[in-house]
Amino acid sequence: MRKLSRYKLLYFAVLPLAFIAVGTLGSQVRGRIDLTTGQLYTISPPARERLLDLDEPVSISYFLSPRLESYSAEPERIREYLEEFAATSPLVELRVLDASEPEHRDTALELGLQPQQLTDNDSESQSLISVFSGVVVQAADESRRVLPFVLDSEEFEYELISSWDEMVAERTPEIVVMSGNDELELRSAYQNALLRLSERFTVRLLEQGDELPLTADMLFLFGNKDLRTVTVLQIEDFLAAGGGVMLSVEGVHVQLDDELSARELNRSDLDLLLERYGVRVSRELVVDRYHMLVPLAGAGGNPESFVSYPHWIELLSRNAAPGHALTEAVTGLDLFWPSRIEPVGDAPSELNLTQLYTTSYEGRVMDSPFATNPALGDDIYDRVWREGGDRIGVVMTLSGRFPPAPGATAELTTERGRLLLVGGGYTFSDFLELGEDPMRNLRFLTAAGHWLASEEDLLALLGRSSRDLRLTGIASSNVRAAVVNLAQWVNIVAIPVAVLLFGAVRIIRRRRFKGVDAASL
Amino acid sequence: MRRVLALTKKELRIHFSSPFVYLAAALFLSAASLWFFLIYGFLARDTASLRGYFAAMPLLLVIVIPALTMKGWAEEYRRGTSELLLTLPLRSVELVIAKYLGTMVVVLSMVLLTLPVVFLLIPLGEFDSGQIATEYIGTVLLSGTAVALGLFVSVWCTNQSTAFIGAAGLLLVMTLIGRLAVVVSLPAPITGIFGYISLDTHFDGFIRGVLDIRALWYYLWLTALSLYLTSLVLEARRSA
Repeated sequence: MRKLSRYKLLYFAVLPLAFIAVGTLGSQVRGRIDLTTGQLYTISPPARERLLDLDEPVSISYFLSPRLESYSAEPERIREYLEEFAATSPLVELRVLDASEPEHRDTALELGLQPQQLTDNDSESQSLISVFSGVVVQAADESRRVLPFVLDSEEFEYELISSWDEMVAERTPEIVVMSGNDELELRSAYQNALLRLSERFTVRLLEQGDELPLTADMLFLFGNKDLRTVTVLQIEDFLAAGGGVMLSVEGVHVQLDDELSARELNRSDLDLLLERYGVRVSRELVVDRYHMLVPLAGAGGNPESFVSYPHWIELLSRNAAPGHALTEAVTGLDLFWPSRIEPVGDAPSELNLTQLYTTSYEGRVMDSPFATNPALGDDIYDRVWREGGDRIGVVMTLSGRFPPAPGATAELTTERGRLLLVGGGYTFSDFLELGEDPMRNLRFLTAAGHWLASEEDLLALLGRSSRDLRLTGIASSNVRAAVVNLAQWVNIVAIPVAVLLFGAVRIIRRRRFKGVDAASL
Repeated sequence: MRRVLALTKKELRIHFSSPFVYLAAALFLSAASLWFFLIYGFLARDTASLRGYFAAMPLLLVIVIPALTMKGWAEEYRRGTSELLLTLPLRSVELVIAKYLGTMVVVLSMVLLTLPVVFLLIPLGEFDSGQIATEYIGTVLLSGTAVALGLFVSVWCTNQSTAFIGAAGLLLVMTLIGRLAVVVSLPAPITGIFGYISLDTHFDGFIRGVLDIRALWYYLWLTALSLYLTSLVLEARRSA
């Protein structure tokens, strides 16, 4: 009896303690398997490469307010990523600092970290508290980069590695930006685009006719309505010297302040230059059966409604050239009143032309007279309806060795330039920020900068956080809605009812069987 | 093992003869889809992800699992069949495992019936298959732990209602405790402990597509601990 009591003592007291001890020890073991496509939450090969190339110590400080962790799981994910990052190289020292402590908070502010306001629910007065989630990367030579506030674990690696590269290179690629439309002044009409670009690049604004600085890596030109010959010559020289150029161009100009009247642009020096490269911007407007809706103010003060507008085309991954570094890095692009961009004649053999985006297979082109009034709705598309339809090119890239200007005295270069042609004069203006995803064109702009600067690694990192998760598998919105309705009906009603019927039949049969069984006895 | 399987079959027969099981399964399937399609707004969000669907699992299981486990031991006590059960030549652990496996088969059948959601929606976009796999792994682990906790509550109770309320209360607390810090200001160590205890916190990684060893360990360990404690209580009753 005494032996049994001892056994029970072991069973009731010692084993539970052992269980708790094992549980506590087990919780210290860290490790994870990332099963997401592209291993989204695991350190990427480009990041690993940079760490393995390190030959001097780097310190990373993550200033984090613990209060923020109770609101969002993102700081924990960022911390886990940084821990994995630091574990990859012995030269990386990671410090996670409690930014609620005055000493660390002061340091964070001195370093340029930006706290965000959070409502303190605990307080009766619903007061605001400041929270930090910022990262400081510092090299041995005291140069540093600051991520003022990070709360998106999916974009974090891109932001960290971009800053890392800036710190190592001690400069960011420089973009010269010009407007080719005299009615759209850069600072007022392209505020968001410029702000976005300046997050990753050194941005310099120039007027047409200004001299291009020698330090420029890229030239971005928004619109071509009022493009001057001197600018076209600059583009030609810049490309021949191996620079990167992005042109948002149009063959038909739509006047925003004149009831959207549209007119063909005269052939210009830019057209001649592009034709030398084997590309043409047509004097037609491209419309697509799969298009977006625009808000339309109702008459007599009625609330606004949304109408189909075939001139607003949403280019998604299904419209993109597969496997291209640029299209893989973005979720797409929105174009208003796009012009067709197509190959023409024979392109120089050293230039590689890629049709980056096309319309859906039901794209159409509209000749003059152009119908652009949103009130026409789907009629706009029907007016140009013809049997058959095609994918119509609206964005194109050219890369390779660009020929120098005829008769140019400059030496022939072996540098390889890059040209991105986007068929829409307003594509990156603030005016277009009314889509389902207003950030889409801005993200494309950042990606275009990386592509033109040949920063393929950063493009790949950007692509990890820019997967197109929208429901684009079925192009027709009617079919898509029908599939979702079917899924709703099946899962909310049909399957639960089937389960209940199955149960009822089974229980009734069982009771009958029992009844028969009892009667036979 | 053969004895355990025989007892598991008996448990399954009992489960599948109970209208409560079918009601709980129908409620679970309908509520999960109702939430996902009509309240969460899958179509309106226009995102090829089932995160919203699986994010509701911890709270749904708070209601559904106790409905399945409330009969576990409480019903045996009420009908007096526990006396017979405890005199069987089976160890307490074997009895507990048989009950657990019986209930888990029911839960797994319910989880399998959620697959039509996946298959019907996959043509709509580029869903991440790895993420869906971890979401299912997480749901199975979470359910397994919830069943073990539910049976642990049931072993203390002599009627089903008490077992249901007790298990639902325990699961609710263990699910929401990790979010307490959102409403109440707590010291960082307490927030950390609550986060570690919470069933919901550990589920988060699975929803994102990540199998975290700590989360795996947490669910398996808590399941084993609950089953072990249940067997201890049973053993104590046996020797009483």
